[in-house]
Amino acid sequence: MDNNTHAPRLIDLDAKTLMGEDVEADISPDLPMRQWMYAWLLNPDIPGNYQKSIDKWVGLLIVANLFTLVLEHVPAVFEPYKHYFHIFDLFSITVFVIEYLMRLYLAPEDSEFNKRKLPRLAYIFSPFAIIDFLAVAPFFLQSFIPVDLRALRFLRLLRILKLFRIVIPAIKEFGELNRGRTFRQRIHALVFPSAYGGTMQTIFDTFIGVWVIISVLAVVLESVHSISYAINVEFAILDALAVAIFSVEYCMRIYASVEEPGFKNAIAGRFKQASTPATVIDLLAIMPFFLEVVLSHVFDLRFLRVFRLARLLKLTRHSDATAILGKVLVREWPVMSASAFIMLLLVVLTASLGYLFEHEAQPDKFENIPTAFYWAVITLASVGYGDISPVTPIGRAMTIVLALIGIGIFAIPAALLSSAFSDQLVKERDALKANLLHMLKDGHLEEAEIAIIRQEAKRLHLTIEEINALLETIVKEQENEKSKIKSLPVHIIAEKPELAIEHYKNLLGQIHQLALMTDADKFEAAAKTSDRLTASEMALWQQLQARKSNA
Amino acid sequence: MENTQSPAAQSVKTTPTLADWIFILIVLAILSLVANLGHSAYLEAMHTENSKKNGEDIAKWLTETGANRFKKTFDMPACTGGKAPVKPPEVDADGDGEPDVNPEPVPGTWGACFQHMMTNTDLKQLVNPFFDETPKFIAACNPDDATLMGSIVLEKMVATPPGSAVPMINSQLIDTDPIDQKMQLRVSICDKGSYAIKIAEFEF
Repeated sequence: MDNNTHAPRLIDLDAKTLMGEDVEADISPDLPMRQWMYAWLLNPDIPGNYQKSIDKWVGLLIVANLFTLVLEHVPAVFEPYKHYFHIFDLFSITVFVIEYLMRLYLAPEDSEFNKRKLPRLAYIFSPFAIIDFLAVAPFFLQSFIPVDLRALRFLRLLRILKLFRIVIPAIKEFGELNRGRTFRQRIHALVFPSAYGGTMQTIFDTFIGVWVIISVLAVVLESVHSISYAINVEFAILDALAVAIFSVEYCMRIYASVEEPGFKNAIAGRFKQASTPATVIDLLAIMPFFLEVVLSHVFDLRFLRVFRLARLLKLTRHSDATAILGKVLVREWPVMSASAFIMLLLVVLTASLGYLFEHEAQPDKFENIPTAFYWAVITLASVGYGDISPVTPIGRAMTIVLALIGIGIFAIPAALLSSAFSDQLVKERDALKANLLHMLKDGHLEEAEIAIIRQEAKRLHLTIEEINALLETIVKEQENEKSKIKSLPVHIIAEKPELAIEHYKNLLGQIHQLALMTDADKFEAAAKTSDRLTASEMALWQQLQARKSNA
Repeated sequence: MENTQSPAAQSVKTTPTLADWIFILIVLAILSLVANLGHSAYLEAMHTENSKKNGEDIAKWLTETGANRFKKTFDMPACTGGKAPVKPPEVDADGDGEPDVNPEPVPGTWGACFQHMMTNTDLKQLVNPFFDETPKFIAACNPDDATLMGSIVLEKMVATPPGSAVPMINSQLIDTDPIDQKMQLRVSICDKGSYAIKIAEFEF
C-alpha cells in the first residue's frame, strides 16, 4: 500500500475509538418517536446507546432482589427494617413494570416481532415477556386476592428468572464460540480468560467475585455479637454454600489448567497450576471449612476462621496492579532483603542499648533484651505508643540518635517499593508503546491488534489522554524514522531490507507525486528534444501516465 | 467483550472422555462432602441455637420473676425478694455432736429459688441439645472441656467503685447467695466450642 495514504490514517487514529469507549450512538433525531426510543433504549445493534446500561442496571436490581428475598427469611434482619424492605420492593416493582411496558410499547420495532401480524401480542407470549410478567404479577395479585406470605415470597423468587434475559444470550454465545471444542476446553474457556470465554466468562468471574464479597462480609459480620447471635445458622449455611462454589471452581481450574500455555502436562502441569499463588489462595479459601469441621472435635480450630478472609485475595486474580506489585517484589528482592537485614541489625542494636542503659532504672519494662525488642521496633518505626520510654539521660540521648537513624532506614523499603513500582509501570508502558509501534508499522491496526491494545491499556490503567499522547509520540517517531532513512547514504539503506523497502516506497511515492503534478506533454517534449531519458525510463514514465489517465 | 478475535473451531472429539467423567465424579464427590460437612455444621449451629433458646428462656423467666418478686402478691415463696434468708435451727438427730447436713436449700437464697425454678416451672423441661440431658449450670465455659457444650453460666454482676479499671465484677451465682435484694444477673451459654455466648443481662 502507498506510504502516503498510511500517514493520515495513522494520525487520524482516535484513542476513544481504539478503546471502544464513549462511542456516540449514531441515531437520527428525525426518526419517528417509537423508532427513536427503540434505537436509544433497546436496540442491541447500535453501539453507544443505552441498551447495555439498561440491561446492566436491571440485572443488578434482580440480584439485589434475590438478596432481599433471602434476608426477608431472617426475622432478626427483616422485622426491624420491614419498612425499608417494602420501599425497596415498591421501587423494584416500579422499575420492572416500566421495563415491561416499555418493551411492550416498543415491540413493533423489534426485529423479532415486527414481522408478526400483532407484534405486541407476539411479544406478550414470548418466553422473556412471560418471565417479565411473572416477576411483577405476584405483587399485583396480593392486592386482589389474599395470598399466603410464604407463597408470595416463593412467587417473588420468579424475579430471578429475569436474569435469563442476560444469561441465555451469553450461553448461546458461549456455545457458538466453543462449537467443536472438547468438554475440558469448554471448562477452560469458562474459568480462564480466553478468546472462547465471551460474556459467560465475565458472568462466571462476576459470580465468583460476588460470592467472595458475600463470604468475606459474612466473616466480618460474624465478629459482631448482635449479628452473629441473630443469624448464626444462616452464616453456617452461607459458608457451606460459598465453600461448595469455591471448591467446584478450584477443581475446574486444576482440571482445565492443561489447556493453558505452559501447563500442558497432565500431572506436572496441574501441579504447576496448583502451586501458582492465585491457586494456592483458592485452596486457602476453602481449606479452613474442611479442617474446622473435620478436626473440630480434636483441636480448637476457631482461629482458622480468620483464614476465611483469605477469600478476599481471590479478587487479586483480576487485579493487574497486584501482579505488577508481585513482579516488583521479585525484582527488588535482593535490595529488599539487604534493607531488611540492616533493619534487623538496627533493631537488635537498639534493643541491646536500651537494655544496657535502662535496665537498672526500669527493670520491669527493660527486663531483658527480647522484651526490649518491642520498644526498639516501636521507636525505630516512629510509632511511639509511649507505654515504654527511656528515662535515663544517656538512654534518651541514644534514643534520639537511633530514632533519627530509624526514620531513614525504615523508610528505605517503602521508598524502594514505590520507585520500583512506578519504574515497572513505566517499563510496561514502554513495552506497550513498542508493541503499538510494531503493530502500526504497516500503517493500520487489525481487530486482533486493537483487542490486545485494549487489554494492555486496561491492565496498565491508561487514560484516553495517555493513549492519545502515546499515539502522537508514535506518529512523531515514525516520521522521524522516515526522515532518518532519507538522510542515510544509499549503500547503508541497501544493507537492510526493511530500510530498503521503506526507501523504495518513499521513492515510488515521489515519482507518483511528480507524475501527478507535472504537465505530461511539456515533460515528454523536453525529454525528447534533449534526449535526456533512456527508452526504459521513458517507458516507465508512460506507464505512470497511463495509470494516471485510467484513474 | 475484551477479545473479539473469532476463534477457529477445532475438529476434535467433543463428547466427554473418561478423564472428563473422572473430573465430574470428583466434583460430585467434593460437593457431597461439602454437603455432608455443611449439614454437620448446620446441626451444630442448630444445637447452639437451641442452647441459646434455653438461655433465653431462663433469662425471660428470671426477668419476669425479678419484676414481680418484691410485690406483695407474688406467690413463689422460694424466690420472693425483700426477705433475708432464714437459716433453719441446727439439728443433731444422729447424736454425733455435729449438726446434721440439711440437703434442703435455705429459703431466701438462690439455691431455694433455683430449685423451685427447675422443678415447678416449664424450665424443668430444658434439654441440652448437645447431650440430650438437663443442662448443667456451671461457673464458666472452658474451651478445653468439650463436656461443657450447651451448659449455662449464671453470674451475678457487682458494680465496682467509681474509678475502677472494670465497671463490673462477675461471679457465679451460688446456692447460698441471698436473693433478698435486687441483683444484676447475666446468663451465658457455652457454644459448640465451649466458648461463652452472652444471652442477656437483666435485673432480678
